Amino acid sequence: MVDPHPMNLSIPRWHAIRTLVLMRCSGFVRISLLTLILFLPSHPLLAQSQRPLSLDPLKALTQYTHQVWETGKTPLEGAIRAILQSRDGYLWIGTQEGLYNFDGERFTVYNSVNTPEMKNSSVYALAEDQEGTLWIATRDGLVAYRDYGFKRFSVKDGLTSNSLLSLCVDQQGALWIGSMGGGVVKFVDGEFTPYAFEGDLRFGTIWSLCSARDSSLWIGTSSAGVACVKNGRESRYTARGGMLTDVIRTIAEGRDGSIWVGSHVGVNRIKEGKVSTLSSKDGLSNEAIMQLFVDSQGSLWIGTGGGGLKRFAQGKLSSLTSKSGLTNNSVLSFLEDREGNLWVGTADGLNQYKDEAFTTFTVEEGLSNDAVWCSLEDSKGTMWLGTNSGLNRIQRSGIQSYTMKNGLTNNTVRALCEDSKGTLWIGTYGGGLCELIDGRIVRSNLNRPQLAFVYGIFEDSRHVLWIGSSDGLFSVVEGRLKRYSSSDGLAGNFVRFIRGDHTGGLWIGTTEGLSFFSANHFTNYTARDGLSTNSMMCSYEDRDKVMWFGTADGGLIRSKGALFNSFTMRDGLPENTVYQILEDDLGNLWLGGDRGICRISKNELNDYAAGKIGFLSTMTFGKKDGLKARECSGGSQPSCWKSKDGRLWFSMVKGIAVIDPRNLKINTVPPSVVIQHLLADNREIRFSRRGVLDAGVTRIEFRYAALSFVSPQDVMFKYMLEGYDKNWVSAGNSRTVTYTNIPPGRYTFRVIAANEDGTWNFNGAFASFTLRPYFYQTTVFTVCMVLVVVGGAAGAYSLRTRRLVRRTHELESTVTRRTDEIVGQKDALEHANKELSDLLKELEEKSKQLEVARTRAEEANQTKSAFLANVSHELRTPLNSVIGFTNIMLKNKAKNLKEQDLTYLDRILENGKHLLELIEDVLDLSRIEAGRMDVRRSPVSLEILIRETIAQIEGKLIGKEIPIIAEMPSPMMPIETDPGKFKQVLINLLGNAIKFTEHGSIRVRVAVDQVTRRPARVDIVDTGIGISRDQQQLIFEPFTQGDDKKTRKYGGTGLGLAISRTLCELLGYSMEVQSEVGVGSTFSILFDLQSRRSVYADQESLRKDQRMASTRERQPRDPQTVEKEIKEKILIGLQPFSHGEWAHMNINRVALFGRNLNESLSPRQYDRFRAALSEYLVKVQPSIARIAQLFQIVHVDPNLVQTLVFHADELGTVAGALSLNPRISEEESQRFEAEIPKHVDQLLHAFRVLREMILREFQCNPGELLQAILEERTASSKAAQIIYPRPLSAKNPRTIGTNEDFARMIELLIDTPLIGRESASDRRELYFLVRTAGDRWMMEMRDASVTLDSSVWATVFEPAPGGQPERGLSLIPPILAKYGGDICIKGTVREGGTTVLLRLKVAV
Amino acid sequence: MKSIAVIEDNKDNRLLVRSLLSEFYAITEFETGFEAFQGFRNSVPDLILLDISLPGMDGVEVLSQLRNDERLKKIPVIALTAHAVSGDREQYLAAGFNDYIAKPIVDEDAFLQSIERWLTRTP
Repeated sequence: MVDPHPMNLSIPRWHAIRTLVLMRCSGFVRISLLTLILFLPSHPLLAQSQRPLSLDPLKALTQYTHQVWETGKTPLEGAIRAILQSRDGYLWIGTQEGLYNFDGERFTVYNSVNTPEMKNSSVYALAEDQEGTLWIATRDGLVAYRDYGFKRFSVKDGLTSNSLLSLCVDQQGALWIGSMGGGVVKFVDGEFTPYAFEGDLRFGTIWSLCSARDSSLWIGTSSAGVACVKNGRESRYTARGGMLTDVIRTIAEGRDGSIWVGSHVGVNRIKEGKVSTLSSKDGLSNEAIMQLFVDSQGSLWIGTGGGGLKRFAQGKLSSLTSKSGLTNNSVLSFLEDREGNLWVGTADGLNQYKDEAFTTFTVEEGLSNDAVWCSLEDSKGTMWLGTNSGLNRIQRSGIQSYTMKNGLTNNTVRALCEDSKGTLWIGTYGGGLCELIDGRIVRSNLNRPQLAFVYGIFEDSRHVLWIGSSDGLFSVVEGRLKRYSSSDGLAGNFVRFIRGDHTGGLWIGTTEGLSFFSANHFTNYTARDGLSTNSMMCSYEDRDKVMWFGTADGGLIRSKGALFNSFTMRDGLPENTVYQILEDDLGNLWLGGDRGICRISKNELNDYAAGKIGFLSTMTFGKKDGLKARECSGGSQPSCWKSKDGRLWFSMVKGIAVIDPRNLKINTVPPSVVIQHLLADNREIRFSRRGVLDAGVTRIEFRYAALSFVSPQDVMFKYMLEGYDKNWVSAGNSRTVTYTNIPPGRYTFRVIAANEDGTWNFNGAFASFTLRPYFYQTTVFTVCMVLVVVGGAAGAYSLRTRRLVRRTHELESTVTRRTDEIVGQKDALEHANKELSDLLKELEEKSKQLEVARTRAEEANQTKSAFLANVSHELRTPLNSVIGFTNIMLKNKAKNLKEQDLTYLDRILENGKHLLELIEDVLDLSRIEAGRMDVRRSPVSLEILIRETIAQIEGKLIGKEIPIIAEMPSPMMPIETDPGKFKQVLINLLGNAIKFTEHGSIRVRVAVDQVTRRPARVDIVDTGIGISRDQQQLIFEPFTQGDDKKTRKYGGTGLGLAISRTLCELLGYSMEVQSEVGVGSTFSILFDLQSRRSVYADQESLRKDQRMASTRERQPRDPQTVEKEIKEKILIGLQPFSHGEWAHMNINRVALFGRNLNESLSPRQYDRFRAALSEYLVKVQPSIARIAQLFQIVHVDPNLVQTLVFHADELGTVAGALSLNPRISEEESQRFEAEIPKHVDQLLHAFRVLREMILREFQCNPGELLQAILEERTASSKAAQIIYPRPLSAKNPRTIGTNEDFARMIELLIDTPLIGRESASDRRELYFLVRTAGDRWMMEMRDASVTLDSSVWATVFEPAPGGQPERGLSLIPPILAKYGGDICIKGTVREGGTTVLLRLKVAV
Repeated sequence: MKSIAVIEDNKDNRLLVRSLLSEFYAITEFETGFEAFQGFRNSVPDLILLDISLPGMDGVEVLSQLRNDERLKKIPVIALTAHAVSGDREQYLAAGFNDYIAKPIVDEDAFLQSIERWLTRTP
């Protein structure tokens, strides 16, 4: 066989080169190289092994690598009846208890508990159709699964039975369903059609369906044998026709087109219409057959009902039972996956059989013992093995063993040698030498005590036999034995091997060094001469006449004459123990040691020895490659053998491991890659190829998998978030990745994977998603808003304009007709009319200009508000003329105009005004929706607000006799709201009520929470025309009103309610309507959702009322209620301040201050702050000491940034005493309550003083602060490994900066994602150090994980270009500048990366 | 008769203002701020109605120039503008306009009242 690739390109090295290429190149060059690499075969040995690792039928069943997932010990439950690999690569396992999805590591179960469509969890069969729908036959219905959704089909949909047993998809893509008692149903194009059997067979129980490659469909019936349907014609195979029985259980098609049929009595084969039987003569007893399966190698796999697993291959039947580890002897299902693994489902778990590179023979395959010492192929081609239980002879016919019974002097055989006469010399361990002559074992007459423990036998080129034992070296010349020992110059008396080289000299390995025997003289080489060790184990002369030696602890030694080179773990070997050395035909050495077998390129070894390359790469083989144990045997000769067929034989402590080095069984199937979960802020996002994530998502986690089942734990991943990562990030075997705080934008997450043999799936999987910015951040939104506004305005505009134009035309004609009559005014009127029509034309013109303005607005990237103002301006200007001139004309009415003209002018004026209103409303709505409305909350009295509003709107009541009645409970807490906007809502609602009410009254009703007295809702109740139920849904939509015909008479823009509701939502309230036509409407503003439940008297509020009542009797009260009430009182107390500018500011500042403290101090520091606060209050300001006891800051409610939330202390404190202590009089209590505002004022002052103090006092010790931050980060962060000296020196000087600034800088350094991260792991290694230098302190950070030029580092601190907001590291320089600090960046380039030293210096 | 200067680039609007006011006041019209300042060299009006969106120098600039001119700084200036989204009124009053009238002028009486109020304040 010709090797298609250069010899020196061993696999590992090839990968190493590729990695290096990726690492060393950058930018464009990297991309093109990557592209190039993608087009190369992903594996140099690809050409050698294109097929997946299907099970070699020549191997014994026990020689496959076996792995189990037992029920109970894994999530799997129930007997496994069906296994399927879907096209995306997942395994699906159908059991009695449900459907399991398996990705190699995790099982996901779908059953009746979590999937309603799986009405019954018992799965009988699985099939996948051509569209990728997974079909699941269950005991109760057919279930289809696709794109994460299930659908169930039953008798109602056309099935003949709900109890389904078998499925198959035929060559045309039709689904066939076999059922219990319902025969066969065909499902095609969404329709179920029962299959009509020929003859009298109607329904029946169908256990098996099989679609053959010749388009025939085979149906296994339970009473009429097998039916074969081909081209619409049916043929039958029954007991009468030679079948074992008519009750059929399972059918499988063989590679040769024959059909295998299994039943409870055995197996039939139908080939070209002829029926034969697999009988006991083939080794099959009369066992019930549960399942038949033919793999890609043509092996027939037979699952029996109690007899285990059987394979019929190469004309031979072999079987495997639970004794060999099969989970259960009832074998129910099979699958050969894409990678060639065989999956076997039993009544008690899942089994996987893999074929690996190595074939191992052990006792199970017939060896007399698992401990194999030596191996040899004799000149006749027979393989001999020396074991702990005698000699084994391996032949095609089987394994034969020779033990002491056969004449061996000892059962442990450690040396073998065939001499030139054909005699096999056998060296035993304790029994000396034996000879095998003509198939008989004879004790050698050379034996003597010193020869009892034989380690090596060798015949040299002059046919002298050499024997090495634990006590010397022996030569046999003409039947005479001669002993050499250390006294003769041998390096040591314990001989491990003897081997001649091409010069005719002998190399003798001993425990005390190496001897070279030539011309009757020993030359010794030991550690003193530079060998890595004295303990020699084995030797090998390669094809280039180079001697190699294996040692017990000194690795591999190369000898070129007297020149030795050693290779050890330090040079890249997997271990320092080498028991066995072989060379394959591809230029590789194979080394066996304690940790398995490794392959290493000889060229690489030579190049390394010559200093041409800096490292050795090896390929190692262990249990996953088919070894039964990884320890090789050592101290025997020959410990390994290369047979004439090129195979390599390694003696192992468990069996003999054989490999064909030309067929390494590389897994060339690229693994399917799937992205399984996308979690945004720990919330699962239903995965789709394109997703949109809400604004504000800070943490995005991906979970992915590669569906390779040969060795899932050895799958490697690389991922990249396009738009964020610049390069692929190696993930190792990790199957999740988390991104935090990525900016809004469009991203594509890509993940690629390689299987255990390094076959990459470069296509991988991807998920694109858009992380939405907050809505006001988007250009798209801006443009949309602009379009909406312009569209709305222009639409309304043209609508109204058209009417206006029509009116104007009428007006014009009227005017013309009357010209003669009103000669005196003719000119003026004509002129005016012309003006008017000109203006109207201009209106239209303006709307065109608007379009232009919009484009201009977009182009100039004008802000929305500017544009909205523009629109308003452009519309108002012409309207000014329309309304103004119309007004003038109307004023002149008495002089010249007729009655009808006046009507027309009236209409123009009205419509002009309406248009104006419309513009205002549309703009308002747009502004609210565009988020242009700022909410400015302050505590206000709802009562005052409502009374003001009513006073304001009463003007509209002119001409109507409707009272507006305000019903307000007392007392009532103020509410936190934006008074202007809330008033607008009230005006809108009241305006509506007035507009649509002719009789009766309008009531404004406020309801408060019974406990907190906080307003819960406001109802505006009218007795107007009402709104029908249908209309109630629509009225909040823009440009709708109730019944068109009716409301036309009431006018209005149809935007009022839309605006009101939007405003309400803006304020955090909701709006409701209840109405009955002809009776009236009630519009309600609900301040919060809970109020719906708690406002009206129910059990809860009744109980609260009772509690209120009991208070008056000075009974102990519920502390929580007390707390709540006191909080409310404080809010009242704060109210007067909140109106005044000064106090308001202070509240803000204190609130902000509190929040900052929370964030910028470590918990310990925050505790200290609070302790200091109490201390300060007691010591410094005795007058407010009482307050200090009374209140403590708990937190600042983020929703009420402007309001400090105080926490009332519990019982026993002054506050508690106030309301709870019966000894305190009511007056006293009231007086205190009245004083609360004053106390609050003092408290605010205290806070201000404190803030100054804290800022002084808590200027941080950078070392301490750094430690606190880092500790917290290390605990919480998985991604970054932060290394820092522990403990950081407490003697570090204080910074002059505030802790906030310092913490901010550190956090920026840690958190800012950096480009160029391409370390082997995704962990960042950061080294922090804080120290002083002269009058400066500095913080150093070394980032050892970043491969980044120091000049690039400098750029990350540069300000963001073109006025963009600063973010990331560019925020640091401004902070430093505050303290006169600067940044010093020093990069040290080292192997594998750049270490960046970042020095932030600040003068103290 | 007191004199009012109207600085307004839209001729329809100038005509409208003239139509509304010429009965009671002497109206001079200027299309731009530049023209107005030229005109003011000869005669100083008692009140100015000033549009905001003017070509070249806008209303706010005109106002600030007026306020910087010893001769003209005391003249009441009323913004007559179609810039009428919420906040505009406050903005222009803050800029130093004596009053603010939004276009379209829907309520003529209010308009006249405002003018009269400011005219009576001038000595």
